[in-house]
Amino acid sequence: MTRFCFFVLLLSTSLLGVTGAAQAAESYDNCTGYITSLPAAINSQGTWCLKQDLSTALTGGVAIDIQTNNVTIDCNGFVLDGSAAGLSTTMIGIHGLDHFNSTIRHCNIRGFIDGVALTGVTSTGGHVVEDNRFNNNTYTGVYVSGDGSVVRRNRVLDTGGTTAIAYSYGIRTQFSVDVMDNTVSGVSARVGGNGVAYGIYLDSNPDGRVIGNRIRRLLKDGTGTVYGIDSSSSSAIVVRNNDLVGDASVNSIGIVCNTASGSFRNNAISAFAAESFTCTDGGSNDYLP
Amino acid sequence: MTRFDMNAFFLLTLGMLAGPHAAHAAESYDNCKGFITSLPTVISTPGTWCLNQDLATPAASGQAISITTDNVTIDCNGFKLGGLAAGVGTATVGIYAFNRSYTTVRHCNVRGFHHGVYLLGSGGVGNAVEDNRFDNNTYVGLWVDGDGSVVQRNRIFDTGGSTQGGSNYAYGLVTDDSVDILDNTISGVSATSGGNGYAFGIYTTSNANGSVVGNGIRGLVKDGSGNTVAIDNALSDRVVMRKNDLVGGTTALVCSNGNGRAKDNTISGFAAAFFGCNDSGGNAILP
Repeated sequence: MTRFCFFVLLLSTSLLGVTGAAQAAESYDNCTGYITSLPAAINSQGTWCLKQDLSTALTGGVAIDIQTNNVTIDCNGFVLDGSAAGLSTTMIGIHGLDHFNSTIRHCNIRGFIDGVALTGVTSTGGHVVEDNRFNNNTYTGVYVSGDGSVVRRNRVLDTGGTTAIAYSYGIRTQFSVDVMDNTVSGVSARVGGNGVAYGIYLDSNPDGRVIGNRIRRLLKDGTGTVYGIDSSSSSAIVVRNNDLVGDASVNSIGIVCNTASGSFRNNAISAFAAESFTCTDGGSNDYLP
Repeated sequence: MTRFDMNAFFLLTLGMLAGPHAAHAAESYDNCKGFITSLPTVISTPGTWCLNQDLATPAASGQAISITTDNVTIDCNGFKLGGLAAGVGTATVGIYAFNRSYTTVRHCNVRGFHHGVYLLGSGGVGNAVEDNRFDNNTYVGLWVDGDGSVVQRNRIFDTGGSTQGGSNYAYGLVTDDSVDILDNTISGVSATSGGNGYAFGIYTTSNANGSVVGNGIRGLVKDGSGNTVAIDNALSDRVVMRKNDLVGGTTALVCSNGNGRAKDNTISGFAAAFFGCNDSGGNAILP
């Protein structure tokens, strides 16, 4: 009887815990502290919150620099804005280097060269970037590196235009990362640079998944091209249930794999010169040139 | 004793599962810039503007909440925004903006307006209408314009019946430009009686490349010589319709050209499954 009651209590506690994380989204209850000015450095673990819009006109550096493991940045829907620095900015919105388990959520991030850049070696992963809106970042909307990371349910709008680099990326990842249920609308290469526009770009991804994303309004420059989903140095990735619309330009490709161990299935691929390159067709893909 | 314990176990478990959903709707006010406490109101400052009580207006024209700047979120925290008192002749809009960008409307129960939400104008981009309930709006449940916008996880019930001139049609959900429409339920869209009007579940226009995914549409009622269309894409191009469940009507999916793709939908009880759209496979079509 005692053991049974303990089991009930344990189950109940577990259920509360699972859902508690979701319902705290717009509350400050779990905030370790607040970020109230920029630039800011986070060097202790916990959930660090915004409770106001923040902006900076700095043209270089990092607006919020994560300097330790297990840090969550919860913007509570507030804006992190670097747009005053203009298209030549090299300022990054939120940055972490060689740390574990960074989470970025509920942020509106705009006007930085990279909206979020969580970089590092293979072993420093476990990052989560979810439920954010990125708009008018000038080079990359989201860049996440590290095994076991996930980029999900973000809206990445109108990325590109930096004067520093010719190419532009909506979402960019490195190592074994899942990319799920994001909208990437508007990625533009720099004018005059013959650059490529990438919707989602995977680097060195041996086994991650790219599922349920919507990618459109990709704009190359000059002799450049557009890729809906591109992978480099990757292998057994799975690309499934994505809706991709290109610009029908010469050499544009919907899905690019590095080897035939990468597969794609049940995607809708439209207005690319080629449906795929190197990938194995897993079936049920719909391709319209 | 054992039987009692098992009952307690299941009740407690169910309570734990059900409780958090209710609690999820009980939003925090922590990030509210301010509160909307009366109608009509004009929001001219960016930020999250919240309801902390039900609000209603008997006004028969104008806008209950008018948004006049970019980057505004209306978070009703589950409270009601009501216009029912004006009756089916109302011309009032629940929440309105014109050519504004990054407007978000969430957690609202919007009822009894000519348009529940009306975010008008292609000059705005990046709007979001999510996790709301719309019921008994008389002409359009919600209308969203602007590239990069999304309409998701809304429940739109019992739309239609307007007696306003030119409003004999009824629309659950309308968008203009490249907008994603995801995981909404539209139940009950009725053209005004005596007007030979159409009933549309989802109506998109100028949607060059958006996605219409995971929506459930049912209960469409035309009037007289009108028709019912579940998803109609006018002046659209490479729109993708996938995993929608559509029940009952004249035509299920309408596209402006064969670039519109229909994939993995369940289509039941329509006289025609497609008009103009390309059948891209995986569709289940039942009589």
